[in-house]
Amino acid sequence: MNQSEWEAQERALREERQGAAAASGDARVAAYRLIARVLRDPPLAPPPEDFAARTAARVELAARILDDRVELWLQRALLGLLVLGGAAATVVYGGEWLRAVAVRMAERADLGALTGAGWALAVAACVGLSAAVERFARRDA
Amino acid sequence: MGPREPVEDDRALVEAVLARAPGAFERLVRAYQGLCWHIINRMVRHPDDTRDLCQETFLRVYRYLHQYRFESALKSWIGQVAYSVARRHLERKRIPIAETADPDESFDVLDRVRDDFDLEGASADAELVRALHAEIEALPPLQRTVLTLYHLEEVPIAEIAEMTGLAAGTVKSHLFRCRAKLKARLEARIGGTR
Repeated sequence: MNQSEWEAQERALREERQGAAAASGDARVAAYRLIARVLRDPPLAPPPEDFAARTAARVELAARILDDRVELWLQRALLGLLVLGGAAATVVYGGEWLRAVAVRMAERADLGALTGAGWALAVAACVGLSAAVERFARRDA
Repeated sequence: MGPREPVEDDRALVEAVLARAPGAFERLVRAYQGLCWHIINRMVRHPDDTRDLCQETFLRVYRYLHQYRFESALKSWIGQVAYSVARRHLERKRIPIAETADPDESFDVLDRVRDDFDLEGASADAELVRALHAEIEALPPLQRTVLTLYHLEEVPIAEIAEMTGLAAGTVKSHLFRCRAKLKARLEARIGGTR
């Protein structure tokens, strides 16, 4: 790189930014100043007036939709994992569980009979109470 | 777009956006839309593509802002996103981004400088200015963008290097070569008309 040429380019840029008077006496710098001036005034259309508002609204909506989708996907993934885990546990431990339940039921057979009598009494009391309420209702009518 | 926002303002703005404060993201877009617009427009040169890619840039900024660590200016970080979005667009369309420097390229024309260059007269010459704009437009996308960032956005060479992923020396070399080439074309044009 030609150092003096680079310095002329940079000096032109500085002078142009500072708005220095045009007559710098150096024709090379003056040519670069014209280039700097043209570069600072490009024929570029600016963003539309409402670009920021529209873009922000659009981006925030897109992000919300994405968040909802991710949340739904995560919920489904977690439910799937739960079902799979449950199925795997049943396959692995199901036999043991059934055996344990059978053993318990055999051990408590007597207690089970007592509990059964208690339930029969409760059902009889309910039926009797319902019949009494129904009879009272008919009499009032 | 004006001079770079102070880092403290960037921090407050980023924190507000991350906290989903109403209107915060719109303020961020408003602060950096000019930078994105210039980078992308200079890269792709198509108004509709520029608008769509700018929106894509801000969508990415919104999604990944939590990854911004304040290690560089927010302007550089957003500029980097805009540049990479535009670069991918050009790559998909198989448009070359940069022109490789010709090692045999010489700037002997640089030594042939007129000693009576009339700056004000030349800048008032609409045809000459139009021709210079056309020369700038004819540069490859990367070179056009580097020149715009340096001259129009006043981004320092180190920050342009961060945005484009180039070495600072490469950015400097692009600047030097492009400006020298533009001056050579300018000299040739003025010489040809006199």
